[in-house]
This record gives sequence, C-alpha cells and structure tokens, in this order.
Amino acid sequence: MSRDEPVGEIELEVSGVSKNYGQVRALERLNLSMHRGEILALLGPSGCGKSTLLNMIAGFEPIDEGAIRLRGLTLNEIPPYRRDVAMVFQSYALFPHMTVAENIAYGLHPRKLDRASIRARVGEMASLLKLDPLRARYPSQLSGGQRQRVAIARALAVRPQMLLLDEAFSALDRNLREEMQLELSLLLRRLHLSTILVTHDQREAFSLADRIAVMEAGRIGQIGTPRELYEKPATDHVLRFLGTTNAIKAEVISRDGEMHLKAGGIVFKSLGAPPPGGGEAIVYLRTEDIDLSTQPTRVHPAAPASVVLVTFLGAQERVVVALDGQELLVERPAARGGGTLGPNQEVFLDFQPSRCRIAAMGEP
Amino acid sequence: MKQKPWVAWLWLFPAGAILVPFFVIPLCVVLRDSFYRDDPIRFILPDFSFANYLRILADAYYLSVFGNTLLIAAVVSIAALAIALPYAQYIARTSGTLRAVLLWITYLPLYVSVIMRAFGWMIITADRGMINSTLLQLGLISEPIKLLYEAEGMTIAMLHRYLPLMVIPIVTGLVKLDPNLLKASANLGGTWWYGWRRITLPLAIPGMVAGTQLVFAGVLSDYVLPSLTGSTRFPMMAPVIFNEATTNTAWATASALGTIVLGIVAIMLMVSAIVIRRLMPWQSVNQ
Amino acid sequence: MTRATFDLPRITALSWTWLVVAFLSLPILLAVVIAFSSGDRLEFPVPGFSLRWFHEAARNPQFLEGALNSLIVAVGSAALATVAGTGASLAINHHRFRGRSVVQIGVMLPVSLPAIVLGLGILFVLPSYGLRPGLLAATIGHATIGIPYVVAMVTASLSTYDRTLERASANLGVGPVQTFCRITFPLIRGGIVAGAISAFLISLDNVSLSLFLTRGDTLPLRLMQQLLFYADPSIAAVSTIMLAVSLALLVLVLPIVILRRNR
Repeated sequence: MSRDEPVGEIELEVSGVSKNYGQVRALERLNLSMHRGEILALLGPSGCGKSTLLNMIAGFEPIDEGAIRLRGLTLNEIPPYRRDVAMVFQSYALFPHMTVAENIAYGLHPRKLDRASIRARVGEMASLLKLDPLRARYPSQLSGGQRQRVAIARALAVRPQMLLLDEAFSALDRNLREEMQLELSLLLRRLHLSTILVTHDQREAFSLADRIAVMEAGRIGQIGTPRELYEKPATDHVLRFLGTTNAIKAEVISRDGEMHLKAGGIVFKSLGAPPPGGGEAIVYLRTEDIDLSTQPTRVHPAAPASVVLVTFLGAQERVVVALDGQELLVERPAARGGGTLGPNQEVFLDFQPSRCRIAAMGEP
Repeated sequence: MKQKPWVAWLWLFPAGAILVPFFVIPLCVVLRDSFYRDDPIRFILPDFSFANYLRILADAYYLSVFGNTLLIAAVVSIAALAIALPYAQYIARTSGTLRAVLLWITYLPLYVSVIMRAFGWMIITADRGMINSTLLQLGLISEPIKLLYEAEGMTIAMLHRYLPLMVIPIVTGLVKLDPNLLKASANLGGTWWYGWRRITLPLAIPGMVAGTQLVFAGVLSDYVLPSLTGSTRFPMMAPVIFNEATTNTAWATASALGTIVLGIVAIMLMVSAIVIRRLMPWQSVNQ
Repeated sequence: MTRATFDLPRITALSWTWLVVAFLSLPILLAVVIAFSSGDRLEFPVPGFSLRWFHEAARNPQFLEGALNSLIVAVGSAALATVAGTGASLAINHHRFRGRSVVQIGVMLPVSLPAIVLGLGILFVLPSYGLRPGLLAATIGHATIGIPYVVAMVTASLSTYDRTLERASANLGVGPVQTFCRITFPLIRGGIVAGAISAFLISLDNVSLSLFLTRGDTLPLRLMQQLLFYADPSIAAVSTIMLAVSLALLVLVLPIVILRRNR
C-alpha cells in the first residue's frame, strides 16, 4: 500500500471471482477493490482475462465463482440492464439508424425521464463532449473520433455509478488517441466518476489510470500506481510488460561467498539471493537504465561492446550494441547537433546494479 | 490499369446476346400482344386496342382470379414474415458451423425439386396423409380435414416454398450489424423487449421489405403449386395464363393477363425501393 | 450465476427455430421415406422398406427420356449462363461505362419477374428466330434465368478479390490477356463454379419455362404429368435421386454461399 493510493469508500469489490470456459480457466480467484472516483486500468496481453472480467462486471458473462459487489450491492444475479454500469465498446456500438442525439438519449427512456429532461440531458452531454453541431448526424457521417465521443456521451448520459471502457481507444490513430485520452482523463476526474478501463496498451493505462492492475493468464500480477509498477515491478511479467527491457544472458560466478554475474566484459554483484540451480541467469535491464560511455566503467571495466546501429527518434536516440554475441537496446536522450556514436564504435555499458532484475534461466 | 470502355462491352456481349432476344424482346412482345386481338384461326391479329384489358377488368371470373392470387400472396407474405423474423434473428446470432447448417436447411426448399416438395406436401395434407391419419387415429376428428386440393393446403405449400426467400434477406441484413449493439442496449438499461423494439426491428426492416417483395412476387407468378396442390374452385393467375395461352390459344388475352401480373410485380419493386429509402434515411448516407 | 437475458429469450428462440427447421425439412424427408416404401400406392405410414420403386422409376421410359432431356438442357443452359453471367459480372464490377447501373439491375431481373410471363413471351418470339418449342429453345430459355445466379455468385467472388493483384501483374510486365488467365480467372473460379452449379440446378428443376418451351419433355414436367395422372411412389424415387444429385453438387456451392453470408 503506497501513499499514493486514493482513500475513500469502496466502489467495486471483486472477491474470489473465477471463470471457466469449458476446460480453460479464464480467471483464477481474482480479488480486486476500487475506490469511488478512481480510474483503474486492467492491463495485459490478449487472453489474460481482462475483457472477461469487464464483461462480468457489466453482466454479459456469468460469474462461476465468487462475487462482484458495487457499492455493497452484489451484482451476481442482476441482469445487465439493471446494473448501473455504462460501457464504451471498442467498436463504439453506435446505433446506425439513430442520430447522435437519439443515441445519447437511448438509455434515458427506460429510466423514465420525461421529454424535457431528456432533451436537457442530451444537450448537456453534447456540449460536454463537444458534439453540439453534430446532434442531427448519423454515425455513418461521423469520423472515428467523433463516434467515440458519442459513445462516451451516450454512456455518461445515464449517470452511471461506474464507467467501463473496453479498449475504447484502439480504433483511433496515434495522435487522436493521445488527444482523446487526455481529454477523457480530465473529464473523468472532473466528474469524479469511477472508471475501469481495459487495454493492452501501456501508454493508455499510464496516461489515464490512477492505479493499474497488470494481468496475466487469469491472475493479477500486481496492482499499483503507474510509478510503483514501473519502478518496483513485483513479477518478471510486470517488468517485461511495461517499458522496453533487455534480457541479458549472464553466467553466475560465485566469488567470496557473494554471487557475481558475468556477461561479456561486465561483472557485477547481484543483490539478493542467487538464482536456484546456478550456472546461468537472465538479467533484466531497462533500455533507459543503461548508459553508454567511451571509457571503461565500474561495472564494465573491460571487453567493450560495439555499436551496431544508432537510430535518431527525435527526442530520444536508440542504440543497438553487441555484447558478447548478444544484442542490447539502449535508449537515451539524443545529443543535439550530432556528436553521437557511430557503427562499430567501442562502448562500455554503465548502469546501477540495483536497477537489474535477475531471473534464473527458464523462469517466466 | 487502363480501362478501355469497349472492353466492358466485350464482356457484356454474351449476356446481351442471350438476354436481349430472349428476355427483353419477349417481354416487349407480350406487352405489345396484350393490345392485339385474339383470333381463332391465326391466333393473334395486330389490331391495337385496349379491348383486352377492358374485357378482363370487367369480367368477374378474371377479377376473382386476381383476387384469389393477391389474397394468397398477402397471406403467405404475412405468415412468412411472422415466421421468418424470430428464425432469422436466431440465425444471425449464431456463427460458424451452426449457422452454416441452419442456412443450408433454410435453402433446402429452394434446391429440392419443386415436384418433390409438392409431393411431400401432398403426403402430409392428403385425406389419408400424415395429418389426417394422425388426427383420425387420435380421435380428434371424425372425418379427414380437406387440405389437399384446397386453397388452405396450397397456401401451406406456398409458405414452405417461399419462406427461405423471406429468411435470407433478413439474415443478410442482420448479420451486417455490430454484434455489440444489443449488448450496448442492455448496458444502457434496455430490456430485451426495448432493445428488440428500438434496435433489432428497425434494422431488420430493409430485409423484411426485400423478403416480402420476393415472396409476394413469387406467389403471384407460381404455376406448379396451384396446379399440383390447389383447387379448381380457387383458380390462380399462372395456371389461368397458361390455359389461355395453350388450351384456348387466346394469346392476346394471355398477354394482357401476363402484363398485368408483370405490372404488379414491377410496381412492387419500385414501391419497396422507395419505402426502403424513406424509412431509412441513414441507409442512403454514405461516407 | 447470471443468465444472459439481454437478447431474445433463449428457449423461445431455440424452440421456434427447430419448429421452422422441422417445417422446412418435413415434406422432403417424407418424400424420401415414401421413395423407399414397399407399398403399392401412396400411403402413410409406410408399410415396409424396399427399393422396388427405384426399379420402377428406372424402367419408366417417360422418366428416362425426361431425365436425359433435362440433363442435356441443364448442361447447355448452365454453360451459356456461366459464360454470359461471368462476363456480365466482370463488366459491371471492373469497368465503368455508361448505363452501368441499368445493366446491373437488368441482368438480375430475370429472377424477379414472373417466369410464366417470360415463358409466354419466348414462345411468341420463337418462330421469328426460326426456332420451335424443343430442347434448344428450352436451353436458351433456362440460360436466361440462370444468368442472375451466375452473376450473383461471381460478384460475391469478386468482392473478395483484390484488384491490386492485377496491377501487380501489370507492373511485372504481364499483358492483360495473360493477367486474366493467370491471375483473375483462377481467383474467381470458385464463384464461377458455384454459379454454374446453381444455373444447372435451376434448369433441372424448372417448370414454368419448360411448360412453354418444350412439349412436356423435361423430367419435372414428366413427373408432374405422372403426379396429376396417378401419383405413386416412383415419383418420390426419382425425386430422391435428383435430391442426391443436387446435394452432391451443392457441397461445392456452399463455401461461396457462406462467404457471402458471414461477416
């Protein structure tokens, strides 16, 4: 529990929830809780169960084991149309035969609002999502970004207790995506609306969420704030999923009772217990944690690596170096006006041993 | 790739060579002959007048034939609509093998020989057929219900023959929709009834209109089923036209009758196109 | 455990569907059952199982002649319809020309307009072309209604066909004729075959046109005469054989149909 964690009433509680699809165990006794007003991301590769969990919260999938409670109310037996959670689908699922205004108003009729209130609410949502001039248009006349706004407006119109976003940005191109993510995160914070978003895109999770639950194979690897997850990953999977990580094969040399690792010309002392079995290990090092120097360094006193390729990316520079037959990726701020490294140049790596994470060979 | 315009006409030539003399011209000839006069010796005389039409429209017999046919067409269309809609919805909801199998079964009446179908229905509806012998055995009736060679039996046979034509367009239309639409409806608070009323039904309408038009036109011009399963006391258009042309060699009259049927079908085609365009403003909008 | 109640009530939809399936398949199943009847006449339930009616049907000269005629007409009309329909579909889908939309609608019309009227019309114009009612007239007439099916199938095939392949071929130096033979044709072959089979089956089963264009020579007409005269299980037997043939052919058509219908 870090100091960054929001305090408040529990909004959503997932206890011991499991889901089976035939033989496949999609979710394994999941536990999760969320506070009111929090934005939580479920982040993971496809097949990890994040969409399954979201669908179970929405009521589209039955819960095999365990319970989901929203503000204390157990949702298990409640049909989807009576849960107060609104969802934005990846495809937006806009009703093609209704105008923008009619789409937004859709959920208001079953809630028995009178005509005047409906019109007012639609107007409110339209201005909130900057859709005013588009109210009489049909979805087929809108651009991708506009359609997303309609989907969001439609979901917000029913004033749900919770908003669910199912890969809601994957259909947009890069620039629009970042713009919309920023807008939406400001909007959600302003409304203090509890939100769960499902994504496989780390950037999306990081830019929108207060806390992120990294999932893999039906389990939650770690929940925490973006910074917690990035700087103190609890599992190798979390480490590898966030940021770009090098996996360096190293030899374990035991010296003076301490464990040392050797890869190419690099020898450094590992913190923590030696990997079981000994022999070989994998050292995980983030691309931005490696520095390059033309002079020998403390961790890399001899046998330099050589530069393979330098790519200029604008603000950053990406360097591929060859070390002892392995290729490593290093990312660092690009030096202005040239003066950078060239192919075949000899370089020495520099990094903090504490930034490494060590895993035994064959460990996930 | 450069497309010389005459290449298109080259590709069209075979189709044109068949369709123009054997489709376009025959229809024009029928239209033309409908204004000519029947002659017992030379079959038809070029004596332009509306006499045929006037005679037909004043004749109680012909009017009853039209009435019969239109009635059956309407009944079958409505029945097909009611039966097809839930069925098509279900098919659209399935996928993969199950959907393929269901579609295949739906197509069945279309590629099975019409004779076989008629035969099958005869077995079911005959006085000593399946329905009657079952009901008699169960003691529910004392006398066989007359279905075969009656308008009722024929109507059921028509329904069987034309149901697929109603199902397929509806399925085609529904399948193109985002499968998440109904989920979104439920998510926003709509019960399945609300979702059906506001989402499924409106979006199924183009298919329903297309299907109705196909079924109606089909029943209107059907020859085989009235001949095999119908009743002589309930004459239908197509057999009547055939009779006029062959038995009575009243070619002009037959042409006039045929033109009227043609006219009804053509009007239906146009009306359904207009209806679709007006009921669905979002359809004609394209990006 | 929550039930997914946001769509059609499952059980109702399912039972309705199976009712419809039963309705659609019942007459056909019955006819097949009757074909194997050992009884002397049409009756249900069937007294026993036997192949006698298949033998009867095979020995019936009317049926045999009708079958031969129908086959000749079906093959001929399918060939004509395939050539015409493929060409028309290619023209409509790959070229721009004046009157394109008219042609597009026109080529599909034979299937929407009443066949009985068409039959009448063709009968009237036959003498002007120097033809008489017979197998040739029937062949051309059937081709007319087969064309829309071919066009539909080939169009479906073309919709999954990427035109940039043609450009790639041209870019590599291959001329238009060669491109067609080696690129276009093989890729739309499926649609063409499906169309040909559809036209074949349509012709085999046709009554309305054959009525006018033959002298009762085709198999369906012979069967119909038999039905009207004295209905016995031999008709069911012949129909069952025809069904088996249709099914065998349809196995080839099915993939194209599914391609059209699925997302």
